[in-house]
Amino acid sequence: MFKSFWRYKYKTILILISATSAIASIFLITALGNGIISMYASMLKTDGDIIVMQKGVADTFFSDVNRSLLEPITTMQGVKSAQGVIVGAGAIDIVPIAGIYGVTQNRLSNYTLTKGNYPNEGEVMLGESIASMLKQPKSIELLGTSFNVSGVYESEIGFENGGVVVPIADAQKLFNKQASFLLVSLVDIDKNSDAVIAKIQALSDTIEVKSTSEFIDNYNQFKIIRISSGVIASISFFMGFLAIVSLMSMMINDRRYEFGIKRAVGISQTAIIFHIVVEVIALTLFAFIMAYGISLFLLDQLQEYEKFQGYLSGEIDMRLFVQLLIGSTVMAVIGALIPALIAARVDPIILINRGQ
Amino acid sequence: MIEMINISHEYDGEQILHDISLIIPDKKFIVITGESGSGKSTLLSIISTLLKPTKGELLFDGTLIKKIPNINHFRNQKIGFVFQFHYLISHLTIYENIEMVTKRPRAEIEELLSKLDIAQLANKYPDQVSGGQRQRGAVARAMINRPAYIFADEPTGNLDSKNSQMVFDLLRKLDATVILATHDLSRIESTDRVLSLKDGKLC
Repeated sequence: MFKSFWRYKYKTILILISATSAIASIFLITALGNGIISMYASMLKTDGDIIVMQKGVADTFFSDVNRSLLEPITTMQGVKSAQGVIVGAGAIDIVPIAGIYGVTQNRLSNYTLTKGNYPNEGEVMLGESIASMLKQPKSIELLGTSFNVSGVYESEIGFENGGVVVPIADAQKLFNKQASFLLVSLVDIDKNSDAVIAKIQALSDTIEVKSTSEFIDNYNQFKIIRISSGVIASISFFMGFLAIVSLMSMMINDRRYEFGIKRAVGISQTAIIFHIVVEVIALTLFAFIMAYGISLFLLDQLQEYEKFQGYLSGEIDMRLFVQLLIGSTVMAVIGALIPALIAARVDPIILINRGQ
Repeated sequence: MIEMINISHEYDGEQILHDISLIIPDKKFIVITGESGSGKSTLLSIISTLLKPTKGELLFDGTLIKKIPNINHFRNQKIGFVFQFHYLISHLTIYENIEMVTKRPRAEIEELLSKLDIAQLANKYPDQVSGGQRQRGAVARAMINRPAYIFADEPTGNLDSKNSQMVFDLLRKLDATVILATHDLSRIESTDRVLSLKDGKLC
């Protein structure tokens, strides 16, 4: 098998490059899409089993919920705690856009301080990425208002690591809203969830109450990301498929002479096609391993790249790994089978003469 | 015995062979001759099952070729080919080219290579040996399964006179039906029958 790869080394290399690029781009696009969804989902899930948003508003950035609802919510049976969060984005010094999170005192403890203290009013704390980008400043300009930097925190969530956290009272002034959403933690999510959701919903007809899991599954932005990355990944898959089909056709055309001889000496079409398929699977597996390695390396680099503020974070989970392994193998096998089956139908002497 | 009944062949709208019928008994040495373009290679390809004729029937030992259940096995076991160009696979060694077509033991392959005086070249690639040695490799591949029929299409077309004579002698000595297409009858010392083709017809 390796002898034929060596004999057609340039085409083998081209096939490897095409397959590796196609697989790596699918890995990257899907992983980055999943990463963004997973980061935002973790942010919401960390503190809440239930999310309360303004009714009829699709995006958390545009939602405005009255914080006075926190009082009746926290006294409800089955509720462990509740808090308001403001999420927004804006220019921070030289950084044109970064996440701004207005949080209450109990949320602050979720951040691991690496330097300084939690912020009081008039202060902010910076995520590690943005602090490093701004060269550990003592104060910053946030949407035209000056704030002292109280400390630096580390978060596993890239969005938070690349943003700033301010006390919710300051965020209310900056964004002129009470809260983007309320997050409610339950004593036992399995027991209390539906009853608490119904009770909160009954408090006001201007709010929409969902479990955070349901919210994440139906959040429009996530759907857009999933669909966009799915479409781009499908295009990459199709382009990779076309490249492999055309390169395999070229390779099989080059090898018509060899296939003609093999058939002339009594080797069956099935055996010849099987041999081609085995070669292609070996090539694809090699390309897959290379693509996986390249993707892991690039995802790691993207996460570390300061200019992206840690916002680009990718995850290659087992499901994506297996799906892509099966998908790319099928793509390559079909790509090889089409020209091989066409060649198998031609009389051996014609294959030999055309292949000379 | 090979039987051809009203074989005609057309390619790209051009009639290459016209209504050829003939019977070739077993263990005969048959030469098909004719000028270039007379259709001898096409006729040989059809008799050797490598090309389906547009019209007519081909029978081996009374069985229609299309009724043979496993044509690949039939080709492998009953037919050997020697072509003008050696048609060895370039990325396989001489030994591997022969091994590819047979289940016979290594010792038997090596014995055959010794008989053909190319044992020392077994691990060489086709482009590392001379034209005559390549052709002997091709003859070895054709002979290894001891086929009942050997087909040779201008097997000496690319060889010098010494190597040509050696290949003709080798073919002449085989215990099989040998059908040889050549335009050069001068080196063939004896034959059981000569079939002359002109414009796709037997003369």
